[in-house]
Amino acid sequence: MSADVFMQPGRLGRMAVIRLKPGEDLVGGVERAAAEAAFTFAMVRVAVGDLADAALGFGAGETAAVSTIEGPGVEILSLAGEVQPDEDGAPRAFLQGTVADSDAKVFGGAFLPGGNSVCTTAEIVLQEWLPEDL
Amino acid sequence: MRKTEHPGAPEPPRRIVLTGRAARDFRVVVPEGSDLLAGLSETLIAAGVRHAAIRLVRGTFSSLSYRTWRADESGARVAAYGLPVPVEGGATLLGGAAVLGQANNGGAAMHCRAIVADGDGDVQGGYLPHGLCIVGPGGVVAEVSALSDVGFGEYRDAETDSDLFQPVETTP
Repeated sequence: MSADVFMQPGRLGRMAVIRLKPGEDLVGGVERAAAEAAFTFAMVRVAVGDLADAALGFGAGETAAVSTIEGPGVEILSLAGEVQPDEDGAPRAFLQGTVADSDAKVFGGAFLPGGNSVCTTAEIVLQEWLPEDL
Repeated sequence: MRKTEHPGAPEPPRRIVLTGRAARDFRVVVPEGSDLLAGLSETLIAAGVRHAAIRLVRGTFSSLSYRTWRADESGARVAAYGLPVPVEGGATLLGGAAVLGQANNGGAAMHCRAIVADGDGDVQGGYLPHGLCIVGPGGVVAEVSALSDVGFGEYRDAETDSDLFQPVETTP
């Protein structure tokens, strides 16, 4: 039998509007922004912007691989994700989506920590998630 | 990971974060024949929404062009947008996002990106320019989170020599 499905009751809370400047790592920047906003849990409502280069992971286990997309100016086309606390309570961002290179070729996957440096700007809106059981 | 060197000096802080109250949400349908960005921004402004986070949910475009970044051959900036690229055969929306905020001139500004399938089913996308994204049959559906207390305001960013949004505190 597979593991039980996890269901967490809660509600959405405050919004955080964020700008990451050039050179900020997308994943690390979202984690630091969540910490600054005092969000333990959060969901990405919107993210638009561009990256100097992009590194997107896909697959799992032996089939796991990374797409590396060279910029400058890799456009973020879509992004979804959430922030969850790690075992020490620090925010960890899990972000995935699609990007386009300068030839409009589209790539998808999970944004890898340390591999997605902002080129010009990233405009992001997070919304706090408030679990009932905490 | 390659870093970029912009024309201006890096200005602290490298990350700007402002928090506000939970927003009111809207489902907006932009009808066939409308320009997407004009339809969204004019409708929201008329409803009193000046700052918003927008998710493009579904829809089609009878005509759509987008722009992607290219290395700026003039050397003035790290990158610059290329000419609009038309999508052949109409476009089916696969996803996208936009931010509505206040422009330098006090009016509305919207930054929007989308990913679409073209008439052959190939996937492409980029930055959506104003006036070049005409909604097709069935309209385009968007989920809009209106922002309270905080939002985005456009300003001239000396570091990148570009007009960019940054978080701002807003008044009702």
